[in-house]
Amino acid sequence: MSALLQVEGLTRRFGGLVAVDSLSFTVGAGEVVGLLGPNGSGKTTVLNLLSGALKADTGSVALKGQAIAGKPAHQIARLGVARTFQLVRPLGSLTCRDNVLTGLAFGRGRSWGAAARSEADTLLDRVGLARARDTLPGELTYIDQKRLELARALALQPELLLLDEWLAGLNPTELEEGIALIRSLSGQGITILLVEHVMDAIRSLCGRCLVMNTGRLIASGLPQEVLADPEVIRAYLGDDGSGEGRDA
Amino acid sequence: MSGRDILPILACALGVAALACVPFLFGDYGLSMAINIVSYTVLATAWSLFSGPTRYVSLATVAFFGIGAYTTAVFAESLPWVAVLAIATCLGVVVAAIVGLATLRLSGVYFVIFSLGLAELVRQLVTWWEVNKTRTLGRYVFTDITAAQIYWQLLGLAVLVFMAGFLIGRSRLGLALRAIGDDEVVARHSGIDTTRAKVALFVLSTVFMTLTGAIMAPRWTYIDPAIAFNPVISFTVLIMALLGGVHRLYGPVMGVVPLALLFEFLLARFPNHFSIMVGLVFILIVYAIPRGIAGLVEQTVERARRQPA
Repeated sequence: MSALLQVEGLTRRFGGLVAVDSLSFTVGAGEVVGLLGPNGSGKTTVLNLLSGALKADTGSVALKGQAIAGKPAHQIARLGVARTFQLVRPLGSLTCRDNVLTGLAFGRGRSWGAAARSEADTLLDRVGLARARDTLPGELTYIDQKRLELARALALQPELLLLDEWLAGLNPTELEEGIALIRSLSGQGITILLVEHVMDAIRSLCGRCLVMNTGRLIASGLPQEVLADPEVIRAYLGDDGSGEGRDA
Repeated sequence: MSGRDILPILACALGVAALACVPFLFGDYGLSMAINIVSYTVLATAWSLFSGPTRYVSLATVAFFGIGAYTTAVFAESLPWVAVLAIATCLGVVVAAIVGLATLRLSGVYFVIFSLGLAELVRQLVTWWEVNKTRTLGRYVFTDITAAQIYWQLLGLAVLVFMAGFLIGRSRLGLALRAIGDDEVVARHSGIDTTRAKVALFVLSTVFMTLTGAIMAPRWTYIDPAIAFNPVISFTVLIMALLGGVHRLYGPVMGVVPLALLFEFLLARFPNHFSIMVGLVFILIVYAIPRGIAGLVEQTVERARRQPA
């Protein structure tokens, strides 16, 4: 498997806080990789650095060998990196169809007109929003807004899809649908990097997991392996109280 | 093109033709009112081309209007009229592009303050130049352009600004601007080059303002920086556009007509209390009809449509 995404020594500081600390990892084409870690460990910052929302202080990011670190977000999007947001951000004054059209019109396809509209409708069907084409996002439930965001991301025809807790807050049925949807995207050849706390989803979707704590990568490997890793458990749950490990 | 497409175009053409007859039908006073209304229609519509979708509230209208007026004052006697308008257009484009690239990264209230400051800066620069370099503070504008000709030019400009707005509304750029107005971060992550889109539209919108200033200048015969760069023009345009409604192309003109008439009345009756009255009108508009007359009309139509069902 060739590396689709190659990250080397990625670092980002906010004042004195090192949010992401010389992070290096690769994601192969077609992989589904989970990015885990306790709250505040820097996962969302990593997604922001990859998608161009933030600029890295040092380090490099390469997509299919092409350096993208430091490029503006719209160029990265056009090169095939799409994302969703941890707190949904639909375009409130645009109908669902127009929300998806933004991705189609300015992404790699650059389609417009009747063709783009029918493509937008196909994408809305795909995420289960066929009935809501002409509705404004404000009238949708939270879950449906998340679906809309995914459709908008897919409209960019991404090679790499960054999902920031896309499955959070879903009920069990919706979660099952959500997992199936992500799996079908992966089956379609889209490489996915997902920040997620829902362990069931991680186990069933991810071929590999990266675990971060305080900006550093502390483990990487198969989901069941990393979740059993003592250091990962310590990062999530703290010390067991015996005093061991605190200074280790 | 089917019959359904031709009908609205025909209606618009007839409307413009009817408006073009105004100079023959009304006296000098009527014509000067019409000039006032059409010039503010161009300014307010151009203003909301940019500020409507992006929600970047600009108070720099008069900076560009004044640049246009001064272009006429400087060149009208020595150059053919078309050349004067061409120079005004170029100056507007250059200034707007510089300002746009420098400031459209600012958002919200910072942009508002900057745009207000810009108008003042341009006025001070022109004043400094006139006092120190040309040794004149005022200029006479002598042309043989009649009031009717000014009116027709403005009417033509109004047609152009509406056509531009109509085409942008249906284009990729229109979608990009609405996305920017909603959430600039999301717009960027959807592949939109937000800076380029904003600068492009800012330039287009200000070109119409610059040309309005250039065309209007002969009306005054005498201008100085305080007249050409009067900040009241910026505020008036803003109030008119907000009253009409900035989310529709036809919105601003619905604010221009009643307010132009109201201001005319207030200026005649209460010349000393004019500013207070304008302030009150502004507050009333923001509180009572935040979506403007266009929004009010849509609401009523919507309600009427739902009732029988």
